[in-house]
Amino acid sequence: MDITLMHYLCLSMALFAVGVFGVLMARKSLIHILMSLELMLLGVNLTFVSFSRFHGEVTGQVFSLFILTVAAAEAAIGLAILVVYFREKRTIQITDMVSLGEKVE
Amino acid sequence: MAGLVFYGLAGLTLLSAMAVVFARSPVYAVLFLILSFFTSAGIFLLLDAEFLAMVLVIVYVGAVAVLFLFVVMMLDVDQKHLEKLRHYPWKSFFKAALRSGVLAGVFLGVFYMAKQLWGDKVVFLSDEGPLTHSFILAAMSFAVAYALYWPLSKWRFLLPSESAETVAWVEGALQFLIFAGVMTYVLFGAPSLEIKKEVFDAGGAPLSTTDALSHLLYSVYVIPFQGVGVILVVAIVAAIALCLRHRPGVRRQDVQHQLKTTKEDVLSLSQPKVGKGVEWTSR
Amino acid sequence: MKLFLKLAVFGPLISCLFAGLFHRQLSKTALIRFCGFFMGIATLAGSTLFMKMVKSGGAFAVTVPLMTWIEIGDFSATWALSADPLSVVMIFLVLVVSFLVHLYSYEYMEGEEDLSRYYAYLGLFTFAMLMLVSAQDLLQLFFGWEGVGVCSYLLIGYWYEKESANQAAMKAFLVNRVGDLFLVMGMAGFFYLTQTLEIGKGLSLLQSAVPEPFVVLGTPVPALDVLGILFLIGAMGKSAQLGLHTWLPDAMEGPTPVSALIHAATMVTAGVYLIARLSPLYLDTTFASTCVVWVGALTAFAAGTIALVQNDIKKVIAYSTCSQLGYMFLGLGVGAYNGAVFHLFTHGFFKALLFLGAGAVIHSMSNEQDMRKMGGLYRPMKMTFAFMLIGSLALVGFPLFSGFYSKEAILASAFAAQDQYGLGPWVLSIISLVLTAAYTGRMLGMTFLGRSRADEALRARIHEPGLMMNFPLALLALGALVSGMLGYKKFLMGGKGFWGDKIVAPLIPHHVGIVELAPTVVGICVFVLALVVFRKWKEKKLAKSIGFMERFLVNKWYFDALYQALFVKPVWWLGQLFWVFGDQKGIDAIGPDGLTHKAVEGSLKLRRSYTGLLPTYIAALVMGVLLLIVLILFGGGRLG
Repeated sequence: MDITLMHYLCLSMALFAVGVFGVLMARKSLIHILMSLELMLLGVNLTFVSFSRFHGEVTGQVFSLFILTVAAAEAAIGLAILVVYFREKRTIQITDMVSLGEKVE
Repeated sequence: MAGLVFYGLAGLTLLSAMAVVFARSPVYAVLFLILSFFTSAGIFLLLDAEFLAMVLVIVYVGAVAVLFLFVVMMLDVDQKHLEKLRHYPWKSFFKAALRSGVLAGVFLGVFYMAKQLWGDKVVFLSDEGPLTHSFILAAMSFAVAYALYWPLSKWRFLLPSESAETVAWVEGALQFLIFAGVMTYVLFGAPSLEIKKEVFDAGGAPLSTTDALSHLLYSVYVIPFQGVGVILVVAIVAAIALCLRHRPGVRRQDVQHQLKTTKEDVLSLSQPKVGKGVEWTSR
Repeated sequence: MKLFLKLAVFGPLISCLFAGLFHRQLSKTALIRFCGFFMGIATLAGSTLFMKMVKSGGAFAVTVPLMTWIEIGDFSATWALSADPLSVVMIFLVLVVSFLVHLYSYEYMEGEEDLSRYYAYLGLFTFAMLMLVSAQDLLQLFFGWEGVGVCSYLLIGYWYEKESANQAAMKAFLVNRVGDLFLVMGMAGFFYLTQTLEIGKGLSLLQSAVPEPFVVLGTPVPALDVLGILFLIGAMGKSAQLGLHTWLPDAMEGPTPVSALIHAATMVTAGVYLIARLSPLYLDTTFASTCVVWVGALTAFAAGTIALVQNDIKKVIAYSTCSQLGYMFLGLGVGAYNGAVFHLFTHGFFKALLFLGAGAVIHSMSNEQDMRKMGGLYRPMKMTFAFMLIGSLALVGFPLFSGFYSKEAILASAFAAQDQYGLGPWVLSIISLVLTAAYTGRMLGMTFLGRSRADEALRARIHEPGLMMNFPLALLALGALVSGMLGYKKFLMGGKGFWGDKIVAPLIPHHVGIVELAPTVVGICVFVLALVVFRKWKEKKLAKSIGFMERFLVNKWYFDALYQALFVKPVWWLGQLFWVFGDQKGIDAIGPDGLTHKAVEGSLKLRRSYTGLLPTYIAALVMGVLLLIVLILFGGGRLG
């Protein structure tokens, strides 16, 4: 059985969907959201790489590289913010972060 | 052989990704994240992106994931609290799964009908595996629709009525919308993106991709490359600045203070009277 | 004389401005002193003018041009005060009654908070009325005409806290508008035919050449007929003739002195004045004159019958006024213009007297106007009774009293005009005379004779009015007594005598025998009979005597009901339609109000979507992106 471009694309879509699912469904902590974000970025990377292979161009991989770096930076800053937040509030629970919300009776 | 490797790696990636999302403890989640990074690195290798695969392992597994691990372990996260929050709305989960299955069936039926009606105009992603792909698409739409369930349930009051029936209708409509969008894209939108139906043959690359990548990075994309470096530096500075803190009461060496100190600051002369002693005054 | 004329006209204006502007600085006493002073000066000046006019036998005329009011191309309207016999008579009447009402009001309105407003209105009214009668120009006349209308509105609604007073004021204003519309149309026609609004010039132009007929609904109608009818309807509105009379009884919501001044002696006679002023026009149009006759005769009859069943003392006198105005119109119609104006003059005195006398009764009865609760008042209020008796006798036409002379003149003219109009108007006016005697006797009997039907507490408070009220009553009684005797020779002088060429003054025919005597004798008999019969008032006594007519009369010939159904209801429904469906449910519900309301409602609801939970926001974002993707995909891969 031949593996086509579509198989890779489906895999990346599934990864992305799982990432979205994680971001949205995770009622746990900020860390889960950050990790799910990494998963989403991984899916995107996979798309770039498979298309670059499909077209025989390496430009896609260049972008993938950039995404990797930006993702690393994002993870670093995100975690730093997380740490500061935790120090301040002693929690990283998403359900606790409602101080900006409208107080509904 | 290549197919077997791909399916193995892909399955492992998806499973570990789902484990990241569903894992009880954040530590397990990070470990599963590392696993999914590893397997995707393998998939990158299948795609002849060996450099990226290495970067993925080094940067992600070596740096980012470990950073995650550190943070998770450093923070004193209340485990019990997490346990309490682990309840997913299973009922709607199953409902959504059922609906996705039905949608996938409908999708397949529509696909075959469209194939009969329009023939070549309908270009499915892959003629070989419409069944597999339609189920993957259904699962995707399911994942998104289900993922939207909990956050949007907070906005139920925006609906005309908050009865279970209305909510179910809206959920169904939502999922159908997503699914129909994806389906339309697959059936009719795909040709406009000019996706070729060529078989993607793994292996047999004309040039080493690492080579090609380096040529590109240091010629065409040199400025963005430098920019990425700057971004990384900024990220490091920002992360340190965010996390830096001065605990009161901790004695540290302050070089500047030491250098600025003069004799007058630290030395005072006094002539104590006999039997009286010196009264100490701090500056 | 010019100075006197100016004083006479502007005195009331100064009084009005004084009362209106300085009311904070003045006590009530000071107010009446100042206003009385200016009014007194004006009245003196007016009286001097009148004396001079009478002495010179109508041979004197003064015109004081004040300014050019409007000047457009060839057209110009000047503002001028002019004194000719007709206007001087009116000026005199207006000023005397107004002055006396000013005095009378001080005591009558003693409890009022903002007396200054009242006096300001009174002054303004007097000024507007003087502008009306001193006008040589139809435009200026119209200014006065509207001015008195506004003041009438303001004074009827003086007690604006009272719902009924507001409604009556509005009714008076609206019904008058109908007449005013026709007056304006008449003025337009006048201007169209003569290219001028100056009354004297225009009338001589109209007389010199028969104008082209107007085409009304496809048929040519003589222009003068059209003009005559238009002016007649205009006059009917102001003078409360049948059809447009409904406002006058309701106008009794105003203070009683106001009723005496405006709704008896002066303003309502403006219509009579207008037609008398335009008498040369009516002389040339038989059709319009016939209309005037029948309008007058019918009004006199109808109002007389309604007055018979009224229980409110003021309403009786109000309908009586209506009836007497009908007499005047009758006189105008049959060509006895001088007789009509003479009746206007004498009527001004005795009707003001009756109203002020009724006011004295009401005042002492603590604002009770229902005659069923009066009776036996002659004992505690002998003076008032005497005055009222004089007024009533004058109204009935007792020989030697003023009403006798003026009414006889009209009756005789009506009888003489039988060749032209038949005996119908004359018979109607004779019946009206009998009716007048009947309701006057009834009013007097119910009010003053018999036993008191008031309760104890009220009876104890009944008192004679004080000097400030008695003095005007006495003066008016004097006027009611002697004005006919002294004036009839001058006023009824035929030809170009006293009235000059200002109004047409035919020689009043003099019939001896049954024609002259019978009405008077019958009238007096009926008057005495009514006095005696209604001395003891019993419920249903009247109803028994007139049977089925009673309901018809109590409901005032169903005029109000008819207008209610014909005009008020449809307009009300229309307004309701526009208000409820157009405004409330249309513009308000959909337009700005509804939008803002919906926006507030919506934002209150949307506010709750701001949960503060991160996943909720991300979900919204994902939804948006998905929607965008779906849109693009359904749109064939293109944006937009």
